[in-house]
Amino acid sequence: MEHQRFRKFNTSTVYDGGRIANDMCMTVRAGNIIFLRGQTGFDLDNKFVGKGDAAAQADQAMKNVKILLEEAGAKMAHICKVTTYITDRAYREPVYNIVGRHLKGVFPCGTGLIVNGLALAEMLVEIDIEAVIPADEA
Amino acid sequence: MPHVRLRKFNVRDWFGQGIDWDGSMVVRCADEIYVTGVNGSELDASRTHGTGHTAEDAAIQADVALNNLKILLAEAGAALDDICKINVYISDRAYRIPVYRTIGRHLRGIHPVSTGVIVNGFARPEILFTLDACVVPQRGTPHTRLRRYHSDDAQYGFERQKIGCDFCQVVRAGRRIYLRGQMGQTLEDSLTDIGDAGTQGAQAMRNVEILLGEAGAGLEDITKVILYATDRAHLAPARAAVLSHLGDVPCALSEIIVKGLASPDLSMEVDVFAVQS
Repeated sequence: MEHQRFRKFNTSTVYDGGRIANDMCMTVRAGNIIFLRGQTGFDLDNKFVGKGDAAAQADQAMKNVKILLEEAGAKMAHICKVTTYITDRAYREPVYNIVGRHLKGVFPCGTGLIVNGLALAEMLVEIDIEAVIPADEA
Repeated sequence: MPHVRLRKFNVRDWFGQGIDWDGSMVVRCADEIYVTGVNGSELDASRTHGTGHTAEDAAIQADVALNNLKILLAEAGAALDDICKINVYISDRAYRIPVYRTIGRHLRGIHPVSTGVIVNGFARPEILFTLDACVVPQRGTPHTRLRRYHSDDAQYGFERQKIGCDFCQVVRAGRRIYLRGQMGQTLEDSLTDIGDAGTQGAQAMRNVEILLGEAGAGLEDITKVILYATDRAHLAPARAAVLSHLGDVPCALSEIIVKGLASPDLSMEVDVFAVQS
């Protein structure tokens, strides 16, 4: 079966000036595996939330994750791996506590990295999620 | 059946961190095994090894990490030779050779694909190294590992590095396909004029298309793409190269600016994940 690609969008709507115009999407479902675009402080209507506030950006990112997973037929409990990118060690505690609240009781695997930057300078946190829908729930 | 989540923990119980975050060291699904990034800390968080911030310390942490990974996979009913892909994160280029030599010793003969990135840091300042592994249990059918090579015969940018690892360019494990992080050099390692990040990105994507084809898949099977660039100025041209090569295949993209890649000659690297549809 062909992969399902949800919330396709054109990059000219996201990056400045519309100089690059290519297609991306928010979610790819390949069989029972769900891959999400890295989630940030941008909500799903492309409005940026939490300028200068990493915790608020993480909160928005995780709200997006829930919506995107459910649209693809999955749920938070199916999350297997969370990779968290932050741009400053100072953001770790506030970001992880927010993400931890959204993931309470899920118990995913995690990897946390401090990096130089993300796609846009105002992004302080990005969260990569991979989820698998168990066969008997698909 | 729900996934099996092994060695559950909460971060607040580890090393005095004020973080309430429920995790597991391993999540076992029907067809794949996910693992928390392994580092130089004991699995019970009783201590961290190699805390002196030297290259030797990084190698000590890598040794602990690989031993931990072996234990975790065994608990999940898998083994090191089920590993498809590793992502090696170090916080200083000086750690690269000792860390990789340690990994190479543990993974001798396995030939995973690999992506190596230099980042600014990890959960705690004393952590110098973290390894992520993508694991699919083979269950009697060995994974297909194509274009195997030994790192010491390969070129990283314009350099050769004696890092002592058995790697390959593409692993096919059931329907999942894992590629080596692709850079601006050809699959034959030729690199006459590496050019800017856009040129590198275009070459990387030509490699991706070839490798997917050799693994019996195509661009339309791509699910996730992680683009690494070494400077914000490199991100836009690299992104444009990646996306224009994908054409009308919309992928789920993440973009990360990192401190460095395998060689200072490289401005970008792209990690591509695919599932044969």
